[in-house]
Amino acid sequence: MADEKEGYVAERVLSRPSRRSLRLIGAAVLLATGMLGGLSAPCAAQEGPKPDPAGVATGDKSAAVDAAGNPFVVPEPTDKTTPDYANKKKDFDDYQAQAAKEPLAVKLADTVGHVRIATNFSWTLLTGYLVLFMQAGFALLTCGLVRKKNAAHLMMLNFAAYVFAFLAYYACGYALQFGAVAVNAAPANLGGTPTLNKFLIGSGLWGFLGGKGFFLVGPGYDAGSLCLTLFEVVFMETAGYIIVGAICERITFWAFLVCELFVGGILYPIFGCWVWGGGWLSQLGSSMNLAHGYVDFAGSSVVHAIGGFCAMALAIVLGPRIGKYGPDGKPRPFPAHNIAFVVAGTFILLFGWMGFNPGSTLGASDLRISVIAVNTNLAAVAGSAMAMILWYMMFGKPDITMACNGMLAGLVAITAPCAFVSPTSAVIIGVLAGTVVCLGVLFNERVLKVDDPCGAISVHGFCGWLGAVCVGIFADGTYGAGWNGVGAATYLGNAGQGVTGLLHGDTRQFLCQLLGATLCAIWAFGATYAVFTVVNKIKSMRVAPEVELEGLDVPEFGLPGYPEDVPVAVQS
Amino acid sequence: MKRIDAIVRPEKLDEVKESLASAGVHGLTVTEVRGFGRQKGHTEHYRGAEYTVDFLPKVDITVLAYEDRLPDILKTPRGGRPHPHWGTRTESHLMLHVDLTVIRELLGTAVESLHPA
Repeated sequence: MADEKEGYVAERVLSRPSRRSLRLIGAAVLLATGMLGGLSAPCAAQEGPKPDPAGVATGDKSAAVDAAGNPFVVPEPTDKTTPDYANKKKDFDDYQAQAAKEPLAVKLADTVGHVRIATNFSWTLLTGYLVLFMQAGFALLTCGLVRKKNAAHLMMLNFAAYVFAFLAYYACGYALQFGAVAVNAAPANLGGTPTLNKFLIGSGLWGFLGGKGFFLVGPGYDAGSLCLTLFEVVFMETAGYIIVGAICERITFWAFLVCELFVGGILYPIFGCWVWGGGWLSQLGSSMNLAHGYVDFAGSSVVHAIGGFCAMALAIVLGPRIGKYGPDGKPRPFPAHNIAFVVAGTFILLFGWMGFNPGSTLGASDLRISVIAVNTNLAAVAGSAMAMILWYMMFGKPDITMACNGMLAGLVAITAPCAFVSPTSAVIIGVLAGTVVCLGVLFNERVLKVDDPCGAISVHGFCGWLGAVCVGIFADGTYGAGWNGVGAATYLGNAGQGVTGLLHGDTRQFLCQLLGATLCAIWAFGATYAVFTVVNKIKSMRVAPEVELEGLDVPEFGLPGYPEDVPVAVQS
Repeated sequence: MKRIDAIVRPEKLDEVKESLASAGVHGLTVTEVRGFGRQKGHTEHYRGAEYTVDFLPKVDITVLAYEDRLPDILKTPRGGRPHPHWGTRTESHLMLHVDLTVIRELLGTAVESLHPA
């Protein structure tokens, strides 16, 4: 209440020169201080791990581990009933004796641990910046694929998507997704973010929504947590951008902003919590004995299928663009207006994906990053090659835009399995994705008659689903021992065996992947369709037909994408 | 004075321009136009949907000339040696698109008398 009073006084003092506008600002300040005060007060009162905003307490000897992940500090065994309790107790006693004898080594381990965390911070932030650059790639790709008359509108959609989805994620998205990450899935590479430790809905192995870190205050105002925030917000933005490709050339700006707030604040974080925030899907291995639980390394489903199926629901709600289907129901093409944008955008996306997948280790101390990087590239080129060859055979000429879509399809499909498969499997996954994307584009256009100008549904939705399922088929067990808390010591009878797919003898993993990926599609499509059918009933999300025919640039934003094309007399 | 119009492929413009300059033409006007002839354009696919490209880009060249200059300007190949200013319909793939009919219609029988078969 004290905060609110201060806000009111500040408003009174400032409001003389221009009462009206400053009153608005004052109201915003009042609202914000009240909200932040209300949120931070209970957090401060709580017991538990303290946030470390300065970053001076993150990374000590507990973070010092060797290449195999063995910690320098041997933890004291607590459960006396385990069979190897005696051995563990002996290791612990040996460590204690050594530490007492060599205190300097323990001090040095504090430094080593801090350097390890610092290295991982650099890696995570830098790869996050690469993912951020993917937004430029998406903007170019989708702009190139639409008609000239909608170029500025499309660029503005891409731009506003970043702005508004970011704010939604800041307000509640991050907290809903990662507010309980320390419970089951603490990112040890970033210091473990111990302050994010409470589910809003659910608990233990059955968490449904995170509950700490709203507005990034209190437990969210922590160096380790904010490193994760930066990396995760750009992932969410990727899902936010995907929908642009399917709804462009006909959606009003206000409706688009509602879509972005929905994706960034609700749709994406909820499924993200289930898989990456330590939620119930990821813990199915521990709770239901389903292998390693649902595994999605970098987001084929969490990011791409969510975006793709959300885009599909929105495209259905909006309906096809005027003239897309002739009176006979045959689809008509609206050719891309700038192929150079399309190709340049695709390459920027490929480059950004080098952050997307390898960065998802959240640490350069995990040397699997090189395998991930090569797998990612291989799937990309295999997907593109397949799309070119397939189109060559089907239509006599390879389509440039489909070649680009094929590359993105390979990238989307390898995103979930990239860390768990061999390079050979990556090529196969790319080939599968290249096939699925081509058939998917034709299926959407000819059978379902869903108008998807940029192929977002096929590239991100269908291939995202495929990628998550591919984990359950191709994972070879060389990586991911102890993933989601399953099989840290031995798995399938082998020490060090990681996530394993159908081809390497783990049927349960395949079933779990099939379940999780399908649930992802149903969640993204169903929730979006339900919400936006209602929104569309209240007020049409689509522009007027004459606006659509003229092109959305000038009616929506007052500026054509290519002003020299429009005869105008500028008066000074 | 006579006006000559010719519709040519855009990529032939430079060649025609130089050829006409050597025939003593000092000024030209060109207009970018679109159209189709007997080939009726061609069909293509964009992301699997078929479409016809029929209004192909062309250049409309306009020349104004005194009548005594017409024989030089309208020179056509002789003795199998292709050295036209405009190109003809039968001569080559590249030359197909100079529309002599247009010229004939404009100039009437004058062209026929100037260029006996």
